[in-house]
Amino acid sequence: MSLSPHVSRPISNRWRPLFIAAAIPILAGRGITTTSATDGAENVVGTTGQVSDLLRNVGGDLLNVHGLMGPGVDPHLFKASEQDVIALIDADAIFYSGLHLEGTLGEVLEQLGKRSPVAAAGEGVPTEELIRPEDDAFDGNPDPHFWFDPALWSYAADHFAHALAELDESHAETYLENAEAYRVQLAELDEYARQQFAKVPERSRILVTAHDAFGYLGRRYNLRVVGLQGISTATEAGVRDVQTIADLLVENQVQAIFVETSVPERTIEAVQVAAADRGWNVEIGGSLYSDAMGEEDTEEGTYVGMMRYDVDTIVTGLSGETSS
Amino acid sequence: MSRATTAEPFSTRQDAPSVIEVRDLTVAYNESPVLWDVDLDVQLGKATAIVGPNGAGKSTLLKAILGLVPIAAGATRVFGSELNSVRQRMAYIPQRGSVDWDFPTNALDVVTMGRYGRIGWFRRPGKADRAIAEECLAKVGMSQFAKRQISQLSGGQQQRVFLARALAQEADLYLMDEPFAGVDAVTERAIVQLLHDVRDAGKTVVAVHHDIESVTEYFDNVVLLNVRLIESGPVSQVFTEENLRRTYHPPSHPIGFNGQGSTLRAGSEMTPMEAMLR
Repeated sequence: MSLSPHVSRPISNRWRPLFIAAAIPILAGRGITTTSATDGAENVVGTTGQVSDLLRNVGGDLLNVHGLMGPGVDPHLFKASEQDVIALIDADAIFYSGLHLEGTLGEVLEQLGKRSPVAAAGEGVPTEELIRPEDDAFDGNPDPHFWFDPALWSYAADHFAHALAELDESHAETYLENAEAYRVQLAELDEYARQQFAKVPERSRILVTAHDAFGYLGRRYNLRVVGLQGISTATEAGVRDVQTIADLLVENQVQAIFVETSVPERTIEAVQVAAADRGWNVEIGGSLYSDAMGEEDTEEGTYVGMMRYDVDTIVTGLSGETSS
Repeated sequence: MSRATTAEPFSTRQDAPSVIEVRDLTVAYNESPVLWDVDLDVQLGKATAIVGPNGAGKSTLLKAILGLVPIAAGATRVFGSELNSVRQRMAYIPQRGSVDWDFPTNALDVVTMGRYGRIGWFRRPGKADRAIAEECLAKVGMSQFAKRQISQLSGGQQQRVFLARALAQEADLYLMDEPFAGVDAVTERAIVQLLHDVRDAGKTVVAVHHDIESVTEYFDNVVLLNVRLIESGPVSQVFTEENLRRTYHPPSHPIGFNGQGSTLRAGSEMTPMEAMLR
């Protein structure tokens, strides 16, 4: 894959002109205040953990970041509570991941767009870099999990920095400098991931996982990603899929598969049994962070830490070093 | 050099301090050995070349020292310690083209990456780090390209940026994989100058080197390698025609590995896939 140099779009297009709807006047009518904090920092709302983390890195002390989705929250299913809507109304600006990741929250954001500036991380990514699966896995939209490619996430850092620079002009330079420093951190992460994946024999670089989030990771680091999602051992087709996956694991000496709690245990066991029938032992390589990140105040509660955790977990599993 | 006193394969000699110690090192790919039972000491404060035919395991030796490839048997130590405790003291300049540098970032940012190990994973470089990065970029004559996207630089320019990054790291040991391969004359001179500056400052340089002609001019010591270690030591003693013949045209003989016979590779070409894996 080659990335073309990022061409900044005109500043005026960075904030999306969106439409306000009924929610805001109703809440305002209840006497909810929408004034800014007095400490001079901008009040911003980030949707996913990744977006909030990016805001903290680009904004530093200049922002009060209110993160909507805590650890373990699935952004596809997130529904804004009244509290969340209040935070959104109070915000000087709202940042989200975009590309339809946030599901129904996207509609709320669109309603708020006219009142507060709104920016999506995905808008910073050159469209030709987005994955558009042939099987329409994302309802005709591009795969929204682009943060799994640190190079694409660095475009999002730039995009947020420019948006913040416009919102808070007196600190424009700081936002841009912060973003540049953060990009260095992302480049370092990218190099680390490359070096780690290179330790796995090439033919064994196959990631069997339950979540559909890893397409960009696979593309960037030359991992073949095979999905377990939607496979039911109750159907003949499902049984065939399990056999196919088991064959793949055995032929390529893949030592581990990776799970999420959302996958029926029966499917995972079926894959393990099918591989064992062929004399090959497949371990459970542990569960990976996908949409949500780890607990706050842990390394996995940051984007870089989450990525490193996933890379280490995959490499350890595929190298046959899984301890448990 | 102080070491643990428990029985271990590493020497406890005091006379010739070794920066890198390699003991009984075997590295294999698909059960065929890439390095076989290599023992090696790299001397402090010297520039050492690793020389041998294609497929001799030269790059793999560097990567094994860096912990970037799985080791089948044996051990390596750097500065008398486990790798993780000294990683920051080691700077690695990979072979040109071995890394597809498509990360959307500029030359100065790449050099600033060299500061990372110093400041830690979850911190960002500050103004002082950036100033050091700018200085290092100037040392390799690349200041005017600081804000240029790395992907838009020529191969030689990229190579100089990666050298500047290694300098910014302020390492004690520099491991370079074919630093002169395919570079222009200006870059070659810059690299030689740098290599000697670093060495004269008491640091250690190890480089995989493919040009036999310039070994004597550029390096103090040489390691002759062809899967096995053929010979290593000062260029004046070891770099002889006879030893080169033994390195490039070794008698083919089977060696055992995992109970299977396998034949040493003598100057054979690697497939691109093999090359990528090494």
